[in-house]
Amino acid sequence: MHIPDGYLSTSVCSATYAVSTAAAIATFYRAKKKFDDRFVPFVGVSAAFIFAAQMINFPVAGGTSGHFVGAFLASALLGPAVGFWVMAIVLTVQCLVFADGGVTALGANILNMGIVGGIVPYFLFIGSMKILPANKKNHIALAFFASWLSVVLAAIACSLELGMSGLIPLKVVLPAMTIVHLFIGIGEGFITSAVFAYMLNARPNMIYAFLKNQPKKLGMEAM
Amino acid sequence: MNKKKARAGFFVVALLISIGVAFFLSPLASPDPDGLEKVAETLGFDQAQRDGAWHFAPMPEYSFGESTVLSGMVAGVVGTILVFLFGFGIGFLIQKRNHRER
Repeated sequence: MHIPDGYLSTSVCSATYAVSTAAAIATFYRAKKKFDDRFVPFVGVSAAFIFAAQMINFPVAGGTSGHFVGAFLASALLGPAVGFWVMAIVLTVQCLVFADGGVTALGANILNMGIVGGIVPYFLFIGSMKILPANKKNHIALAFFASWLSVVLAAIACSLELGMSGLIPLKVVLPAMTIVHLFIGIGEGFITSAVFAYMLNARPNMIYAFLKNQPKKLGMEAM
Repeated sequence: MNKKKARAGFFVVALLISIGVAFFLSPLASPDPDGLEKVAETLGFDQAQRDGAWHFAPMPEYSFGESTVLSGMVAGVVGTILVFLFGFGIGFLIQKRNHRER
């Protein structure tokens, strides 16, 4: 859901640029290095995987395709601050190198897919994780749901921006965007929960969401 | 030392998988419009799209010059390596900042 140039009004472009720039500065200064010497390559590899996976559009019903976003996955693995930066890098390279997503809309795209799609579901995931019994099945199911929600929320944010730009009435675009992304989000859920399940089994100590919130239970799961 | 090697191996494999996805799977990607593009077509606001705010994209639409299957595959690999390097760079800067604060 990369917004191209021409869709958003000048005020919406400026406001979204301001929010995304502020988020970039704030997350840079809040970001905490985890995973010792693994941190730096892990950020690079995460960005590479998300970029590559985003290229593979999968068919959804009715001549529509969807693609992986990866915002929740990045936040879950690297934490919301570094996860935001991974998304910002992917979206900026897509925009400037591949003309995917408008330059004037880059602020909005980073807001939708970096903040709304990444940071918000991350905290919902953390919150739900504390309520539900801690076991792998629940964590994987939660990752599925959080990443599905991530896509739907990003689509809603995108609709709001289109509506506020006066391009199309919100009451027309919001249901259309939301409904199609309810389905696209399922693909996101499958990819995210598959990667998440792998990491949970093979590298549980490389999931920021657990390092940060359940250090004791993590030890149990690692066995 | 073995642990360190195992870690490096994980990253090398993960990067190779990403490059492999970009190279081998990108020709299989669905050419259908994505969610936003489809909604824009259906509701008729796709005409508002303006190109030309940025003319310097070296690989527009994920291809070099002519849009062949191979150029798309190569563009995918170039992009994957590029974001890997940028990701590595920002990770390095965050690590450096963290060290300085301690």
